[in-house]
This record gives sequence, structure tokens and C-alpha cells, in this order.
Amino acid sequence: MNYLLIFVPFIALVLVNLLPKKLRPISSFLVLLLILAAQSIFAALAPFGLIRAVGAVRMEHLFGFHLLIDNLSLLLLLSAGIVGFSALMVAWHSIKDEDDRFNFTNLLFILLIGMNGISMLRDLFSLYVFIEAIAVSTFIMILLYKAREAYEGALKYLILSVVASVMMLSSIALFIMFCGGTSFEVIKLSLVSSGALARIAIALFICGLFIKGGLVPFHGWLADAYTSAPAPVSVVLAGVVTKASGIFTLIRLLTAVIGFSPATKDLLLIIGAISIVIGALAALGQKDIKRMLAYSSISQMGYILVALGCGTRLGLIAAAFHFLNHAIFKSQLFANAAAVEEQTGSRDLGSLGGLAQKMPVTGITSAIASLSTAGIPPLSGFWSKLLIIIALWVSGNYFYAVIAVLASLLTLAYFLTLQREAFFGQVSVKVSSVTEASAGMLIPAVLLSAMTVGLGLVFPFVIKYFVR
Amino acid sequence: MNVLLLLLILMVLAGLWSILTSLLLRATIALALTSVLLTVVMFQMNAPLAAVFELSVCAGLISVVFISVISLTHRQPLKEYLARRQKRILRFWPLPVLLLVVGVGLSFVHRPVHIMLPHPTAFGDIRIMMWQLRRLDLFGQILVLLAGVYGVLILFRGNKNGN
Amino acid sequence: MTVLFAVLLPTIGAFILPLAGKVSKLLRNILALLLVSCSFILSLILIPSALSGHIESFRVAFPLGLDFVLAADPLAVFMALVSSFVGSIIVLYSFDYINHYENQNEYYAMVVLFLGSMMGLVYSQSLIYLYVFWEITAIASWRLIGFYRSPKDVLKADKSFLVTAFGALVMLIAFIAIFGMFGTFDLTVLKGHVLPGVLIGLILVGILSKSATLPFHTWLPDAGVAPSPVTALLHAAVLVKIGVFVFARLFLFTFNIGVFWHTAVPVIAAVSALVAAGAALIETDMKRIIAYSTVSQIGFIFLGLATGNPVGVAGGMLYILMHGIAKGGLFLTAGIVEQNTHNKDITKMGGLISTMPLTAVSFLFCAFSVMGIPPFGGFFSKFMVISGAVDAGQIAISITFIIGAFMTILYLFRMFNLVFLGEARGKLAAEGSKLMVFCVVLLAIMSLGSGILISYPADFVRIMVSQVGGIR
Repeated sequence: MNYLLIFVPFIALVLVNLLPKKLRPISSFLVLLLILAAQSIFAALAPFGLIRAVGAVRMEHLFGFHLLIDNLSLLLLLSAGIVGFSALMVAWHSIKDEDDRFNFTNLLFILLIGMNGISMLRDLFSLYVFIEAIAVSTFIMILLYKAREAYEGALKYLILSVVASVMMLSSIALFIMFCGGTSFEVIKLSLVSSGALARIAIALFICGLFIKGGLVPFHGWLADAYTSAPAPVSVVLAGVVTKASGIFTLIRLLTAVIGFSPATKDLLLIIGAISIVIGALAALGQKDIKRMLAYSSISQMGYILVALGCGTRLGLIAAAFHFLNHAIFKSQLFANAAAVEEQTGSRDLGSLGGLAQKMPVTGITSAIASLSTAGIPPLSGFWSKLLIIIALWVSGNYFYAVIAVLASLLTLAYFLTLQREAFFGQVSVKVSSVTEASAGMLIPAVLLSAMTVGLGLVFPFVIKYFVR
Repeated sequence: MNVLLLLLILMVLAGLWSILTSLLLRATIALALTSVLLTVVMFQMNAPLAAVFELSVCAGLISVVFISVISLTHRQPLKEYLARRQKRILRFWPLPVLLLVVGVGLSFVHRPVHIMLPHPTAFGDIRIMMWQLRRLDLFGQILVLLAGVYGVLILFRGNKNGN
Repeated sequence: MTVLFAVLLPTIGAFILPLAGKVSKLLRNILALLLVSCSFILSLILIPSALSGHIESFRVAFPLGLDFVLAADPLAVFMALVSSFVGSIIVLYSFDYINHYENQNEYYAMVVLFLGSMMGLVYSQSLIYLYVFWEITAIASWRLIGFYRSPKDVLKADKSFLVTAFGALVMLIAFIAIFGMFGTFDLTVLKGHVLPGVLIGLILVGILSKSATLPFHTWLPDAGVAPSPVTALLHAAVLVKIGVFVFARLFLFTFNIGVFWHTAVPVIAAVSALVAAGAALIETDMKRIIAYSTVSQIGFIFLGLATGNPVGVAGGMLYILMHGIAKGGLFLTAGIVEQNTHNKDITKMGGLISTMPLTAVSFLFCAFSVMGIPPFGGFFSKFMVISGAVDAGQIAISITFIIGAFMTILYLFRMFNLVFLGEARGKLAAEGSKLMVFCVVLLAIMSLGSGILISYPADFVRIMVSQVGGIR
């Protein structure tokens, strides 16, 4: 199974490109949709033991490398599957040109392989290579329409990405110097008896990951990249890509290699808390829907980081659950923004109003996702935030717990602004002739908000599978 | 050792050229040249793995992407270009001086390095090394290249449609 | 299981209403009424078991102390009865009031969801589910206050959501801290523990913001932009009572709080009662007057509950019932007047008693009850609250509240005078629809009846109070 997750998309990618030109767009769309759906179902059922990872054929000998699936990998596999599925559905309706659509699908294939690889790798250098694969394809995805502002967003992303790469590469070089290898076990073993140099290497790598994840001192690129990207690209970018290359790798590194030292915990807590507050404050003042959502992402990344900063098992579970939740509701909000932009031609909050009456499905689903992000019960976002706060409190970080709680109010404030200006309220003159988006755009929104509500309601039942 | 020193100096010069030149295309070529020189240095220092990556990604792919982006830009009027060039030189002249000062300054600092570097292992044939030890990275790099190819496709197609 | 159904029927059923609305309006309306009255009937069924001391409960165990616990103790049953009864009448009243506006499907869904989560809140015995249902009521009231969708309405809806959510989040910090201290959210386990003062303060912020008590009261008058049945639901019967209820649930029935808070809470309540009464005296918007009156009356309930002696607590509990009925009646009559005259300014009305006599008399009955004039229900509760405060030795505070009660009489008479008596300064309008008038008359009769038959609710409350551990 592990190898299939990488090779099936790869072979499929090659095959669809060999098809006759007429068949390519539709077949690549269908094949990728199928793969994504299968992956989501696999990842969702695997933790409950309903599907077992197939290990009958000893494939390591065939390929010469190890890929391991654990529960953490399933988290990313599931998020990637769900978000990719939604992005693809959005793309099918919002990208008008067939060639563009085909290129988008191809790049999404590469992104998927990259993320699946990251989820299962146990080697620092391979991790770096896969992160680069993701970065390059994302960079090109942002440029899909060759819009002027997209160049700016993509360039900012590229430049900061390169800085991050340099940091990570130097860190890897340092690791090779005193560990003699890049696999997790080797590094972990030699970290026990190493001094300042190891700390520098770790700090460099974590810094690189912070840039990739768009956390606060390094968040400059994120808002521009998210805003200028085409609609389906921002869905996949905000939903899972930045988190896969930034946050997920960080979680993997912390749990498998570095461990939680007091200094690491403090770093995570401080950066996380600053991200939470600054992201939320910046989102409050935004007039562009996508920009507001982008800053909101920074804030939510902060939540994941402070949860990690607890350094406890509960904190990890909370972080993982918030990771999944964020993938669900943020990609849905971006899908809603895509629907609004598609139907009204505008993302400016000032010119919208009362869309809930013209686009009822989009209105209701976006309200659900907004409230979930703000951590209002009984939606799924509430439970992950609750777990984060409990984890913070139990581990003695009272101050951060209070920040995390009160920042929810800021989150609520900017989402209420979004709802008031765009959906709730009187129909503004400019949107009086708007109709509901097409079914294809609505399917991901409905699906994702059903997940938000459903996860929220069944959460107390499933939590025992995680807290063991 | 002397060869290495020469190469390093050349590399720095190429790097400076890529910053100082006012033509985007020349800057790209200079960058590629820097990468190539770095690759040779890496081979010299017995790091073939790094060299291969440097050559393929930095000298190869990045340059292609840059050139394709440049092909989308417009040519500046000559007058503006000349005025601009004057300004650029004014802006960047301290750079070589700074570099020289820092280099000379550092050479006076005799801090012994305490890090024990492991003895460079003999990698042997590069093909065997890549294929035996780092197949997954090779796969990852194929992905990067593929993404690059799509990038070039998208950007060049845009050029045609744009006109 | 009865408890579970009393909670789940309206909460789940609320989401069927928009679908029913697609089929037929009448079906949806009747279904909404059925769902709410189902809770009422199920709560009635729960009375015997609650009084006998054999409390019916429902429990699902979850890890991390997140057990889902519902229990029908007398306090819960009492609150459930009051809110589902007033809620049913309000839903009935809405049939005619709301039928010419847009978004009716959402309206009914949200009202029923609101009442359902209220049921969940009163019956739940776990801090975390208390919080969950508390916030669901906030979502529902957010949608309901912004019902008319003008920018002003939506802004005020957002304001009330933010203020109550702020309080709730502060309260959540305290809940998490309690979890940190005792390792559970289960109130049955937590019973009898002593809380540190800081946590009591944090929880009080939540309670005061939900109950619209000073200094978090400003959202309540602003929320008067909502349709009248909604304001009746939020201001009179249900929403503001949540804070009072949680106060009783946590600080009387579960935790022990120190002597300090038995003085501090009445002081806050007294200030709130006086300031709001003063505001009601000078306000000219009909609904804002009644809203300020609510803020003022909530102070009385807090006073009763905080005295900590049986008379005061019983008075506070009875006050919840009496105030729910009477204030609901006032808002609904105001709704009839507003809808028929298209006016909310009391200085531009007058003489309406000649054209809408039934409404006027109902208003007067409900007003008598709120003022506390014997033999209306409000008299007994107000009397018990103040005598409880005197018993507790809080003479100065009692005098303040008596002044507050006088001001109540003043502003309600002023309002009655300007709206119904004197000569007409605005247009005279006909009586409201039969259904709406029936609802307000029913509430008016209940206001009187609850005073004449005071022994039944008083007995119930006496048994409830006898179970309170912390009362001296």
C-alpha cells in the first residue's frame, strides 16, 4: 500500500499524458478524482483497523527504499485526499480553458505524490527533495493564468522558498557532517551526544520550516501567494500544501528526531502565540475575502504550533486534529470564496452583500465553516480548539491557554465581519442578479461542511481512538 | 589546491557579474555559470552527489525557468536603459569592495575549527551511488523536473497566446 | 431516556423544519410548535421522578472527562418547564407575526434549535456540554437578531454575538481550569468542591454577559431590533435566564462559593437594577424600555439567588417563572402594537386602549406582575427575594432594590400611559390577529393565575431548594 500511494499517481500521470490530446483533460480529471477519493477513504478507515496496509509483497527489495505509514502519515494522506478532491472539483468549473485545466491536473498529480511522499518518509534529505517538488509545482500553479499580480505572489513565494531551502540544505549539510547520514535513526542517535552545532542545525531546519509554513516572522509571502493564486490553487495551497511542507514536517521531525526540549517548547509556544494574535489582527482589517482567509490561516497555524509546544501526547493529538480540521474548513472557505468570485466577479467585501439570499448553499456552508474556525460548538473546530486549550492548561502553560481562548474572539470577530459584509444582510445592488454557483462548485462545499458538522457531532465518540 | 582556489575566485566573479549586470538574460547566464563552477568545485572536493544536484537543478532547471520568464518581459527603451544602468552601477559598487574587505578581514582571524569532520567516504561510481542508495531522492528529483517542464509549458504557451 | 428525547427532539427536529417549509408552510409551523411543546410535555412527565428524589439521568461515557450527562433534577425540570412553555406560546404567536417576512424557514429552524439547546443546557450535568449548548443558543440568537437583514440589524446581531461569546470564552477558561484541578467536567462529581475566587470571577463574567447585567448589558437593548417574538424569546423568557440558571446550577447546586461573593453579587445586581431602571425611565423606544426593564429585573433574580438562604433562593426561582411569563407578555403586546401602528416611539402613540382593548388589558396585567402588585405572581417572588435579602442582613442592598422596584412601577406606568391612554398622537390601529391576541391574553391570565395559585410552584421550588447543599 505504501508504495502504491506514490507509484499509482505517478504511473497514472504518465499514462494520461500519453493519451490522445482530446481525451487528456477529462481522463486526467477522472483518474485523479478516483485516486484522491480512494486515498481519502483508505486514510479515513485505516486508523480504525477496517483496512490494513498491505504488506504481503516485500517491496523494499524491489525499490530499495523504505516508506512507513503510521497514524501521523494517515493524517496527511487524509487531508491531502480531501483537499485535493475539493480543489479538483472547484478547478473543473472555475478553470475555463481546457489546456489550463489539464496543466492544473498534472501539477496536482505531482503535488499529491510529493505530499504522499512526505507523509511516509524517514530521511531528512529525501524530505527536502519532496518539499522542493511541492514548492516548484506550487510556484507554477500560482502562475497558471499568468496574471500580473500572480507573478508578484509567486515571486515572493519563490524567493522566500529559496531562502528556506538554503537554510534546510545548510542544516542537512551540518547533520551529514557530524552524523554521517540523513536518515532519522542516524540523526537521532548522534543527537544524544552533540553540542552547539546540532542545535544550530536544528534551529536552521526549523526556521526553514517556519518559512514554508508561513508563521509570523516569515509570513510575508503567504497572503500575496494565496490571494493572487487562481481559485482552485488557493484551495489546495491553503488547505494542505503549506501545512504539509511546513507544519507536518515539523511535527514529524519533533516526534521522530528532535524530541521536545524546554527550549524547543518555548520557541514553539512563543512563535505560535505571536502567529495566532498577529494573524487574527491582520485578518480583522482585510477587505479582500481571500486575503482575510490567508491571514486567518496564519492564525490557525499558530494554534497548531502552540499545541505542539505543550510537548505532551494530548498536545500532539490536539495539533493533529486541528491540522485535519483546518484542512477541511479552510479549503471549504476558499471554495466558497471561489464560488462567490465566480458568480459575482468580485472578492471585495465592500461591494458584496446579502449573498446568502442569492446563493443559499454557499451562504449556509460558509457560515458553518466560519463558525467552526472560530471554535464555536458543536462544530468540529470547537473540539480541536478545546483539546488544544486543555493540553495547554494541563501542561501548565496557563498564559498561552488564555491567549488561545481569547484569540478565538478575534477569529469570531473577523468571520462575523466576513459574514455581515458578504452573506448575512441586505442584498446589495451590485449583486442583485447573482445566482447560485453551479453544482460542481457546491459539491465540495457541501461535502466539507457536512464533514465539519459530522465530525463535530461524533467527535466524543471517535476521540477514544486517538487518546489511548 | 591551486585549481580549487582559482575555481572559487572564478565563481565569486561570476556571482558578482550576475548581480552587477543590468541585463536580465546576462544575469541568468552568469548565474548558470556560477552554478557550473560550483559543480566543478564540488566534484573537486569529492562530493559528487551534491554536484549532480547542483548541476541539474540550479544550472539546468532554474535557468530554464528564468529564461522562460524573461522571454515574457518587454524590452526597455534605450534611453531609459542607459539611465538605469548608470544608477545600478552607483548602487552596487560597494559590493565588490565589501567582499574584498570581509575576505581579507577573515583571513586575519585565526580561529581553529574544532569540528571533527568525518573522513569523506569514497562514493565510487556516481551511477551506483545514486541508484543504490538514493533512489527515492532520484524519484523526488524526477518530480521536480516534471513540475519544471509543466512550468515551461505553461509560461511559453502564455507567450504565444499573449501575442 | 425521557430526558434525552426532551433535548434531542427539538435540536435535531429544527433541521427538518426548512425541508418541511418547502412542502407547506402550515406543516412547518405546526411541526415547530409540536417539537417545542414535546419538550414541555416530556418535562411535565419528568416532574414526579424529579420530586421523588429518584432523578432520571442519561449518561454516555467518553474519555478525558468529556462524559455526556443529562439529569432531570428539580432545578432542571423547573427551568425546562418555564422556557418550553413560554417558548411554545411564542412559537404560536409567531404564526401570525412572522408570516409576511422572508426567511421564515430559517426563523423557525433557529427558534426551535434555540429552545432545543436551551433544553440541553438545563438538563446537562457536564460543564463542557453546558458550554456547547450555551454557544448554540448564541448562534441561534445571532441569526434571529439579524432577521430583518438591514446593515443596522446585522451589526447589532454581531455585537450581541461577540459580547456573549466573549463572556463564554472567559467562562471556558474557568471550566478548563476546573478540569485542570479536578480532572473532570462532570458536575455530579464536582459537587461540593470549593472553587478559588478567580475562577468564580471568570465564570461570573460569562454569566453576567449572557444575562445582560452591568457592565455587559449593552447588547440587550440593541438586540431589540429583532422581531418581537424573538425579543420575547431572548430578553424575557429564555436567553437572559441562561446566565441566572447557570449561576444557580454552578454556585448553588454544585460548588461552594465564599461569603465574599454572597455580598459582591448583590452589589453588582443592585447597580445593574438601578442603572437599567433609570435608563428605562428616559428611553422612548417601546422595546428598549422593556429591554432595560429586563436588565433591571435580572438584578432581582441575582439578588435572590445570591442571598443563599432558602427564602431568597426560592424567591429567585419563582422570579424566573413570573418574569418569564409577564415579560414575555409585555414583549408580545409590544409586538402587536408595533406591527399595527408601524411605530416604536411611545411619544407618538396614545389612546390605543379604545381600539385594542384586549391588548391593553393584557399589557396592564403583565405589567402589574412585573411591578409586583398583589395578587399577581410577580408580587410573591419580589417579596420573597427582598425578605430573603433582609434575612441575610443586607439591609442597604434591600433598600436599593426597593427603590428599584418603585422605579419599575414608574416606568411601566409611564409607558402604559403614553401608549394606551390619553389622546391619540399617532395613528390608531386595530386589534392584532386573533391568534396573537389569544397568546397575550393567555400570558396575562397566567400572570394573574400564577399569583392566585402560588402554592403549586412554591411547593415545587421549596422541594428544589431543600436539595441545595450550600444554603445556610
